[in-house]
Order: sequence, then structure tokens, then C-alpha cells
Amino acid sequence: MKMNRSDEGNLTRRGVTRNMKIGLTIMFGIFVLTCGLVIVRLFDINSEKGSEYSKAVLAQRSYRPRTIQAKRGSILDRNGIILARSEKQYNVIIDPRQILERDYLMDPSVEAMVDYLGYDEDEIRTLIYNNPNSSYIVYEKNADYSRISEYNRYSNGKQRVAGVWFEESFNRIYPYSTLASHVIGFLNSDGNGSYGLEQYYNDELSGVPGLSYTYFDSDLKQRKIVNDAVEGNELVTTIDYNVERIVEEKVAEFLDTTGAKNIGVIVMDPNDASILAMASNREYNLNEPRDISELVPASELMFMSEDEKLQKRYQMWKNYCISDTYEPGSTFKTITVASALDENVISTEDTFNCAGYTEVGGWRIGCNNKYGHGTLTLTQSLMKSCNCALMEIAAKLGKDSFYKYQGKFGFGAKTGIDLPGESSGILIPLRNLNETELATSSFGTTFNVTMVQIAAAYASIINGGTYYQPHVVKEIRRSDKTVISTYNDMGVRQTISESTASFIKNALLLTVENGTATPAKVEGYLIGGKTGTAQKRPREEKRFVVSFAGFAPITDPRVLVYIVIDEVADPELSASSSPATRLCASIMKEILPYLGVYPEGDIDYNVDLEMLAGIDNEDYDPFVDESNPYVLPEDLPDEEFDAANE
Amino acid sequence: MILSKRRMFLRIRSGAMDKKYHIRKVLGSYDMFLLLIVAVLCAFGLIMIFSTSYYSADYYYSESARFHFRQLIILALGGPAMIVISFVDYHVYTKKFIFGRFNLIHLLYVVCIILLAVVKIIGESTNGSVRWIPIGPIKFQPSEVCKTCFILFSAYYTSKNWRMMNKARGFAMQLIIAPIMIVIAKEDLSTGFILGVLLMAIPILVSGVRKYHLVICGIAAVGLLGFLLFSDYRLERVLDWFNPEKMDTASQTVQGLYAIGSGDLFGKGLGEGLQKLGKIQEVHTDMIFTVVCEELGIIGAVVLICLFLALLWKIYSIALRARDTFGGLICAGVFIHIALQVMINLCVVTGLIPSTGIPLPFISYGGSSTVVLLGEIGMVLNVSKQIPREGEGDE
Repeated sequence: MKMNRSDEGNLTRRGVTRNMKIGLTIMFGIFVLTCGLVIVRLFDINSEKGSEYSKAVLAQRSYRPRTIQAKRGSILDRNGIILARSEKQYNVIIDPRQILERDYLMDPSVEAMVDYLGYDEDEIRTLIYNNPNSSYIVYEKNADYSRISEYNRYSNGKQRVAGVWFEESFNRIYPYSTLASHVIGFLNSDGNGSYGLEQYYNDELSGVPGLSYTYFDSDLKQRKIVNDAVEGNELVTTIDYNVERIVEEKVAEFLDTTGAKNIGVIVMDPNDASILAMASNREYNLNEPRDISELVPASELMFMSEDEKLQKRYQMWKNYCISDTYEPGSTFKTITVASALDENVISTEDTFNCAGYTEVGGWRIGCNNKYGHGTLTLTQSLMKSCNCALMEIAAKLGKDSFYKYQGKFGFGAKTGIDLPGESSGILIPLRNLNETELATSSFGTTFNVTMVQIAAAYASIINGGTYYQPHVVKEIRRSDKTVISTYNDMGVRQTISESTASFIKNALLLTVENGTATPAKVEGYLIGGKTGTAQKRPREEKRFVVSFAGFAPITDPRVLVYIVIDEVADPELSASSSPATRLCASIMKEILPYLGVYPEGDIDYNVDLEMLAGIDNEDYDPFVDESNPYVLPEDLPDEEFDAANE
Repeated sequence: MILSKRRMFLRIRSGAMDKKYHIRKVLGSYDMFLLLIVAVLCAFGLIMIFSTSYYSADYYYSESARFHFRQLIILALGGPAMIVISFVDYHVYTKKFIFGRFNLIHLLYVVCIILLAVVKIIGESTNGSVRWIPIGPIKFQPSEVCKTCFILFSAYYTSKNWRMMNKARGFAMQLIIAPIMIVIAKEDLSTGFILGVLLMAIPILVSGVRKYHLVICGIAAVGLLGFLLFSDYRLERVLDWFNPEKMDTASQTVQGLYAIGSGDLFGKGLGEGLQKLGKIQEVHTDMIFTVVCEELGIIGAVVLICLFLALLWKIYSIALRARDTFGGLICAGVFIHIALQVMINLCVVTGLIPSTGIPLPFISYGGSSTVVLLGEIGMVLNVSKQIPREGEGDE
């Protein structure tokens, strides 16, 4: 104390003055008052805004629920071969908001992404700066696992590396890429099915996504709830991998050697109308469904607008077998004859006279043989595909019955096949079905059908008269293989009697054996079938749709093959049904042994060859094709056709 | 004094050394109660820092006790420093040992200027203002030291020239230190404001309010207004405060009010707060009081306020009983420093005044602030130690 006195005497001379005491007391008073004010304010906030703020606190805590993707169900062929499956993959999610939350996170985080995920630095930085409020940007889909694990190993425990996480999702894989592409379909960018089964059964396949979310219970404790995703259901299709493969090979071969505008092939089991194979033009790669480089040469592709490309893709994805309609031509004659027989307006013993043309309602409608077929039995009228006989039969049947049977056989309405984009075709409505229209309709012109309609109608004749709804899926089952639903018995109605059916079958056998469809013959098998050739409108252009519906074996039909070729590229063959019949033969030859139907030996030859009696085989000239224009251009004005289709 | 010495001597001689008396001799009237309050406050702060920061520390640093642990180290260093300072006679600061002309206060002044220069050159910015000097892992904040410097300088100057303080010239002379304040205020308005109040209030305590004080206050008010108008974000904060409804709900103030409002009377329980989970940024620093309200309720907040009242009451009573003007003014300075920070902090977080960044003494996380405050409490303790006993007056 000596020290301070000697140092600064006047520091100590004065004690605490009155001024100081007053000043300090005032200051302490201010402090007490302020504290009182703050406490009042605390009560005020809690009583006035308490519940509102409490709710606000909880409201902003409710985290955005995070969906857990469900694994999409597989698609199998009828023997369990996987045609489509889903595989787990990882998406890279970038969270710019988290990265921008702290200054120091930016550089190390971007660096880690560049070094371990291989991203472009500028791109990442731009992305982050342009989306400061976003927390969820899917930057890369299906990142390979090695990079992800390297990144995780590096970032683990690093405080300054943030803003990237990996989301599990599923990748759709089609192991046979092009196989049955038009039947299976693909997934669009948001994971929903486009075209084919993927679209039609999207709800079954996609499963139920799971949800993980956080909430606060009554004690305001944070609770996390995870509802696991439910895997999608599996589809077991009626498609047979091997049949499909054979059919597609043959179609591709045909397109490569002969070529056509459109071609469709349906292979069906006639006993339940299940589709064994369905091929439509060129199959596309389901793993790259947007790639049209196969269709368009690269030099053209460069100059195509986006719209043109899109059109091209739509064309590529379209399933010709169910979406396109055409005039069926002579294949429909079978239906007309079957209807008339079933309605008892004609008998199997009836004969018909063909003079090469028939006058109907003032129109002169020609036969395919302009010199006339002479006198024909009912069987022969089918074998030789005589228009005049058919017109006579239709006239006997009458328009009401004809129209009724069109309906019975499923024409003019969708068959209900379990594929999207089915057309219903166009029939001449009953009120417009006059004498002339009835006559032309009898041999399958002036109305439009789809391939699957014809196939289903033929199946009903072949199996003895039961119309089944054509279908591609036979079973839906859960991921644990428990079956949810089956589609084995899809019988809808009786079309014709069994006796009618067996007569028609025999007639069709003879058509192949000795009629217009001889190229469809396969050695060692008894195959029945009917050809068809229809001239497209406008008639002057002489463009044709040729078709053939064949089935085998005749005694116990196991398979129906229906082929439609739209505008065969080879001009010499364009009006001939032989491309279709030959294609059918080549397909039959391979699929029958595969399906366990072997040539000769075990074939039961119980066909009544007596039916051939009275047929002068010399008359038949295989080179005079039935496909000669039977309806002349001047026959029916286009306006009438259009009116008919209103 | 002589008497007491003699008495002691006699007691030693008689072998009846009164232990109690001996302690009394060493500690004087050392204010143990003040020490206790500070310890309680620091412990309270330590707990709240852990509660408020474990989530964000884990999130950003994967180390949930990061801030808690750092504050613990700061207290482990600052506490003993406070005790040491409390045993250093505060008159030592005025001893002119450098060239016989300059004392420790002068030295501190120079150090402050150097630190401010350093902060300008190599300082690290936080939220747009340059306030820190990074020393390894520590972020040192020179403006905190400046507060102590201002207290000591003002107390020293005013008590030394108390006769001149009645005149404007005398008052103006001590404004030699004001440039530091202006430099700081440019970066950190609220700290500048505290320094300004210290610079005004300490002389006024000696001289009483004079005309020139009012003039200076007027000029300062105009300057403050200019500051607000020419600084976008400051003006924005003020305007925000006038229109609380239009305030962005993401703002710290609104989120802080949510925390206070959701606490109710008894709070959600220690550690159970939700607003610290990412909604209030750096809640363990300036906004810590909001989480006290959220977790401990109004009751907890009132207890904390009462602790501050007790602390300031102790400092106030020590100031009144100080043995000399210098000691009294040191206590007054520390009183103003702590009281202002508590008042500004509480008023900001409860939305009573516009938003500004001031830590809550002893409670908020922050090394520089806590160490400086502990040092100041050490000085107050030394003043208390030297309070003359009754009948033992200093002449």
C-alpha cells in the first residue's frame, strides 16, 4: 500500500463520491427494470404466442418423408425364364443446401466429388450455386458401386465433406434385350411402364413404395417410422421363350430377304387363346428403348428433328399385332362359312356355282378366278377361296345373322387381350349392311380387324367352338411365389357347334393339302389353314395385305400361327399369299417339334379323305393365286366405304 | 493499520494465533459470494453449451462434445487466471515502470491498437464482419480485450484527473482512446456501443451530468443513426424489428422466439429442445438464452436472470465500498460491461430491440469473451479484498 500511495497519490485520496453512488444506483435500477421487462416479455410471448410457436416448432421439424423404392416384379415366360427383372442400383444425390450452409464445406466436398466420383468440377459448382435451396438433386443414376464405396471410404469421418448421399433404386434389366419387346414394353424415365405388359400391369408390377418419416409423439420425442416397400408382383406370361425366339428369327430373316412395310406374327394356343409368341416388325432393344439407330442410318439421324425422331420411336414401339387394323381378306371366309353352317342356312353337302362374277345390288363383283370356278362343294369353296360362293352363302345367311356372328367371333370390339393400345377394328354397322356390303364383307373386305381378333376367332373354330379371351399373362404371383390370380380359364362364349368346327377344320386341312395354301405344308404334319389377300385402299395403287392363319396338328390342334404381311417389298410377290404361307411353314417346322409334336409316326390320320371325292384335282392350278383382285376398283366407291364406317 | 499490526504481533507472541484472523488478513474482505455466483454461472453456461451444441457439433464435426470441451478448457485456464488477478493489487496497473512514464494501462492500450491492426490484416471474417484473429485452433477476438482496456483506461484517467473532470477539457482529454472505439464500431456496432457507454459513463460517475456530456451524446446519437442508414444489413435488421410479421421465418430472431414461446413455464426439459436441431444457427453462442427458455422454461430463465442480478448486486456493492475512486470506477466499468451485455442480449433474443450479436456473459460459448470477463471479475475481487474494514478507514 505504500507503493500505490507513492505512485498515484490522488487515486486514493478521494473515496467513492456521492455522484458515483447515485450513478451506480441508477444504473443498477436500469438493469433491474430491464430484467423485469424481459421477464414480462417472456410471459407475454408464452401466453400469447405459446401454442402458435410450439406448433411452428413442431411443424418445421416434420421432416420430408423419404420414399423407399419398391422392387418391381419380374416378368417370366411360361416356363419360368426371366424376361424382365429389376436390379438394385445406386443414385447419387447432391444436396447443395447442406454444402452452402457452411463456407468451409464447399471446396473439400467438391474436391471429393471430383476425385472419387469423377465429376466435372465446374459443372458441380454451377449446379450447387444454381440450386442453393435444393436438397435433392439426382445427379447420377445407376452409379457403379466401386466408385461409391471409394467415396464413402474417403468421406467417412471427414467433417468437411458433405452434401452427397446415395439412394438405392432399381434398374430394369431385360436379359434378352430384343426378345418379345412389343409384348414386354419398357419403363419410362419416372419408372412407370410404357407399352406392353410393363404398362398394362404397371400397378401389379410396381409394388408399394415404402416410406420413412420422422414424427413427434405426445411427449415430443422424436420417432422414426420406416414402412418397408412391398415388392411388386411377378407376371408369369404365356409367352414361350423358344417359340418367341424362333418366330422373331424367322420374321427378321423374312424382313432381311424379302422385306415388307409391316409384318405381324401371332402364335397362339388355340385351346385357351393364350399367346405363345407375338412378333411385330423388328424387335427393339428394351434396354435402350429410345435408340433408333437400328432403324435410321446415322447420316439421316443427324438431320432429324426431335419430333421426327419421336415419330420414328412411336412407330418402332407400336405393336402391329394389336394396334393396326386392316381388311382381313379371304381368311375371313372361314368365319362366314362357319357362321352359315352353324346357323343351318347351308349344309355341308351344298354346292355352289361360280361364273367368275356375281351381280349384287347393281354391282358386278368378280371372283379371284375371272373365268369362274364352275360347280363347287362347300369345302371346295374354301379350298379355292371362291368369292362367288361366299357371296351366295352370305346372302343366305342374311345381314342380321352375319352381323351377329361377326360379334360372336369378337369382331368390332376389343378382344380384351392384356396389352395396351388394342384397337377394336371397324365393322360396317348393321343399318349400312346392305346387299352389296354384305356380299363384300363375306370375303373379308370393306371392314377392318386386328390380328388378334382373327387369331382369337380362328382359335374358337379350331378348339371346337369356344371363344377364349386372348391373353398374355397366365399367372400373377407375389415375390414369395404365392399365386394371387390365374388366367387359365378365359372362355367367354360358344361361337359355333363342335360339328361345324370339325367340318371347317377338315376343309382347312384340305386347303393346305390341296388348295390355295399348299406352300404352308410341312412334311410329316397335317396342317390346316386359310390364306388371305386384301387390296389396300386406294385400290388403284395395288398394294396388298397378305395373310395366313394355320394350325397344327389337325387332330389335336396345339398351335395356331397367324401371319399378316403388309405390303411385301418384292413386287413380284406383292399380291401373292405365298410369303405368308412359306413363313408359316418355316415357323411350324421348328416350333412343332419343340412343342412335342413330332412329324409322322405318331400322327393319327383320321381325316375323311372321302371329302376330296368330286374334286377334280386337275382344275387346281397352284399358280393361279386366289389373290387376283376380286373386288375391282370400280366396284365400290370409297365414299360408300367411308359412309359404312361412320 | 498500526494498531492492527500490533495486535497481530501480540497474538503471535502469545502463541494464540487466531487462524480466522490470519485468513482475514490474507483475504481482507475478499468477496467469496461473488466468486461463487461466477462459478455457478460458468457451470450453468457449460451445461447449456453442451445441451445446445451437441447436435450441430456432431453434425458438422462428428464430435458432439466439441464446444463443451473447448469451453471447459477455457474455464480451466480463465478460472485460475481470475484467482491470480484477484490477488494482484489493482494499483499495480498504474505503476509507471516503463521508462518511468508508462504503466500497464498504457501498455494495454498499445496492445489493443496492435491487435486491431492485426485483425484488419489477417483477420478471419464471420458473417461478413472481420472480428477474429486465428491463433491455431483458437479464434481470438481483440474487441473483447478492448473492453477491459477501456474500463481500466477510463477509470485510471478519471480518478487521476478527477479535479479536471468537471470541465469539458478534462472530459475531452480522455477521448484520446475513442479512435479504437470507432474502428471497432465499424465492424461490430454493439461492441462499439458498449465501449462508447464506458467512455461516457465512467467520467459522468465522477463529475455528474454536464452540458458537454449531453452534446457528446447528441453527436454520438447522430453518428449511430448515420451508421444504421449507411449500412444495409443494419438498417434491414432495424426495419425487420419494426415489422416482425414480415420477418423471414428462417431468421434467427423468429426461430429464437419460437424456442422461447414453445418453452412454457417449466420448459421441455434439459436437452429436450428442438430448435437447436439445426433451426437456430450457432445457438450455443449469442442465442443460447432462447434454448434456456425452451428447455428450462420461464422458471429457468428467471433463475438465470436472478443469478445475473445477484452478480451485479455484488459488483455494485463492492463499487460503493471500494477504498478509492480508481477501485470504485473499475467495479463500475465491469458493472457496465456485464450489465450492458446481459441487457442487450436478453432484449435482442426476446425481440425487444433489433438484432445484434452480443454474447451472454459466462453463458454463451466464446473463449475471448469468457476469459476477459473472468479477468475483470478478478479485478473486482481484488477491489473487494481491499475494502477497508469498519474502523479501519484509510486515513
